[in-house]
Amino acid sequence: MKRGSVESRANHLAAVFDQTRHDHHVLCVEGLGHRRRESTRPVTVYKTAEWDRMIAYEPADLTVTAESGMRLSTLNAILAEHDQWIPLWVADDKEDTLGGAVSAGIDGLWQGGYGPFRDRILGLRVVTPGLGAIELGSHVVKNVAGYNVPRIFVGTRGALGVITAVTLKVSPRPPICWSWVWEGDLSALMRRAHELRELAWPWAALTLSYQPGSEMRLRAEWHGRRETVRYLVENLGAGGHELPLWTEGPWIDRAVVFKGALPRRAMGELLEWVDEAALIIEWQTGRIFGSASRSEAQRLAIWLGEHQGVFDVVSGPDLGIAMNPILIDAWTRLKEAYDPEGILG
Amino acid sequence: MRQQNWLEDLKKIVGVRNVLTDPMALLPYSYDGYTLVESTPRAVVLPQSRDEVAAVVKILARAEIPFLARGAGTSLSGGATALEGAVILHLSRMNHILEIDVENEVVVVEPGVVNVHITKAVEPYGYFYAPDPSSQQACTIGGNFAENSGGPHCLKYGVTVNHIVAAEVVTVDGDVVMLGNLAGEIDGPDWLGLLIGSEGTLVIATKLWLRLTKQPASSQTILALFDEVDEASRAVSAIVAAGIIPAALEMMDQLAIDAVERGPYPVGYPADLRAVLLIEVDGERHEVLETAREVEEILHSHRVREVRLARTSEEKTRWWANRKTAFGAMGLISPQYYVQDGVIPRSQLPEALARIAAIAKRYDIRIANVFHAGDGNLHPLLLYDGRDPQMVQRVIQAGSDILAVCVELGGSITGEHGVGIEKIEDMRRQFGEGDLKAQAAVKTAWDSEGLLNPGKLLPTAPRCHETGSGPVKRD
Ligand SMILES: Cc1cc2nc3c(=O)[nH]c(=O)nc-3n(C[C@H](O)[C@H](O)[C@H](O)COP(=O)(O)OP(=O)(O)OC[C@H]3O[C@@H](n4cnc5c(N)ncnc54)[C@H](O)[C@@H]3O)c2cc1C
Repeated sequence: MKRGSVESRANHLAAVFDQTRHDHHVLCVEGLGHRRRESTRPVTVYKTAEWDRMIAYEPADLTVTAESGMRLSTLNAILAEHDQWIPLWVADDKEDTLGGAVSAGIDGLWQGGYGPFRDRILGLRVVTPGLGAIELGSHVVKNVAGYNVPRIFVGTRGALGVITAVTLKVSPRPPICWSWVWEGDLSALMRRAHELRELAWPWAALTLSYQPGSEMRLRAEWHGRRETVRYLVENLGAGGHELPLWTEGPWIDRAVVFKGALPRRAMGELLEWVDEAALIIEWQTGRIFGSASRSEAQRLAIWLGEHQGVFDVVSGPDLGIAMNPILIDAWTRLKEAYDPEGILG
Repeated sequence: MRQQNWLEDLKKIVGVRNVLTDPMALLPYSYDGYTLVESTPRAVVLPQSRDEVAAVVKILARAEIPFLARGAGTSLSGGATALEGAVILHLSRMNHILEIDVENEVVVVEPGVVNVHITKAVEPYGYFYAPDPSSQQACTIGGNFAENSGGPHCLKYGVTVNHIVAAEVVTVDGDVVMLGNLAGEIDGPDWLGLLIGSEGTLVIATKLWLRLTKQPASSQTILALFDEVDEASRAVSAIVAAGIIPAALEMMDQLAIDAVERGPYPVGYPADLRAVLLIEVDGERHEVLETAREVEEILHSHRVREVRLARTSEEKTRWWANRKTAFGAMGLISPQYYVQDGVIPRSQLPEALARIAAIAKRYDIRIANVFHAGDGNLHPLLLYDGRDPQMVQRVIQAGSDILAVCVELGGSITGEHGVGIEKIEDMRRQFGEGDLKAQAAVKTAWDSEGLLNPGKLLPTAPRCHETGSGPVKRD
């Protein structure tokens, strides 16, 4: 059963906030539940997956507003009717809701070709315990009116408010998507990746992936016009449509699923260093995604910290990565306004 | 610290020569590119390093004196004008490109570096810095950080927030914080994304790490000459609807064409032309060839009078110089002009332009249009004569009506010039009370005393700060 109209979400959530407060719980908002972080406090889980209405879609404006529980695949099916899409492909092939992708700061492999997912977020509708229902950002592709508050909701897992609707910039679907793969020795693959960037640019994704016990794999994916793909086939061989990302078998969730990034200079070094983790690096942007045991994830977090990289848990235990004390102050003051009683964790 | 000593203390930090208090020296700082409000700063300080900025800020914060940073002063919304007796930290001495890190595809700069100098410095390595405001010959990266500036090529490449990977900032207490990282990925709350575009009201940036973009392998610049503005607008929508995102898609109407043709870079547009589109496609060479061909087809199906393809880089450079000097060229057809900046959903372009024409008629003024058509970012240029006070009032009112149209059509009151002083009240058009409170909470989180760049961005009641020695002129 759907939980009422968009307008009634705020009232409904206000009651949920009251109940959570009464139970001395923390409210954990969940889309499909794939990106859950373990919590030490008692949690009331609130599912948004039923909030899946389309609110506004204007193909000529390349913008769409939908409720936060809508699955990305559902949205993309609607956009496909107009040859448009939200190009977000997460390496574990799991589904995300729009609100879940924003809250967990999820990003995909096509950043090289389309930029980060967060750059598509134009506006959010949010219900907060402290300020009630608020609109953040705008519905147009360009806007600098006021602070860019939607940014602070990306990756903060609903700690400031419950996202009820998301406005995104959409992209035209390319006429063709084509891929090529190579396996073997890391240094040869790195040379090849370098050559690929000289041959054409930007690739939708240029990934190097590694699973413990199997060979390193380079995969190049082009989104664009048929003439370009013909030219690339002449230079690189036949390739294929949607060639697999990993050398062997499907993606396996280990204790920690992580994402992050590292400076381009350190990419090769990380692939030489990695041992027990499944890891994928997007070669144009230095973005990473992977899965590891808790201890391996901890080692990796430290390694990345030492190499000016970033490590973030997508699902699994909180590894307790510290924030700068000045930023903690700013965060605390924001929390005081948005969620004064800490209902949202 | 004794409050009256703050000026002496500032001199100890930056040197006597770098603290300006003489009224004549302060005069050029009493306004920026938005000339409808003038307000003299209490003093101007010219620090040379992050440590000097931090020390200056600490002194001012302790004395409870408001302050703000200033780059080149090209803000078109009054962002760099000091209100409430604020002290200006002019960052023109912090103008060094510190490192070109080709391997990581990042350039490290001080905030006073002029935008265009970055692209010039990295060009030999095969890169460019993508955000290209038309003011790029003068405006600084610090100003771009604060305004989240855009430019013609932002249609494809994105605005400033998409190109700053890290920033070293000084907070209102004089603490130095590093945000973002060389990897360009968020790490906890996206503070950097929040601070970019905060109009100098939350922090002062002292060092910036900018993402470099590889120069495209190929590009094609196209001019499309139209006999009707409406057809030109429809062609814009048709290009986007065909799934084409050009690198740039700019439009000028007849009055704007008249002005630019009198300027230093005439293109030779026919005098009776009603609208021109300047389109650039770039990327891998096969993509460019095909896309340009498709764009041409679309233009021909929209009653275009003539389509020209740039044959040489000189021709392309001239077309762009003609476009990028359009604001200044208004001076050739009018004593003064007032630039508006609003956004509409691009499908509403014909409607918006028709309504702007009706506003011009209603207020009996001339309005030229030069704008980023591809993303619906309008720049109506309202022409006036400042010696006619009634006309000035009509222009202000017409500008406000244009913003009302933008909001009514589902758009925004500013796409790139910011709220500043100019649009502070217009914020209420776009946002509800709760939305504004949510934004005010951001200000409180970073600057609870309201010392940084007061009187900008948020329509709150003015705070009571001690005012400067002379009366603050605000007209
Ligand atoms: C002819 C003309 C054309 C223009 N074209 C465009 C355009 O195409 N696109 C566009 O987006 N804008 C355009 N602008 C507007 C303007 O150039 C931009 O807003 C620019 O970013 C301002 O830079 P500045 O160095 O002049 O900053 P200033 O005007 O000096 O300051 C602007 C704001 O930035 C703050 N600031 C400055 N430095 C810092 C710092 N280091 N840390 C924190 N805050 C700081 C100031 O306090 C102020 O609030 C144009 C202006 C003119 C006059």
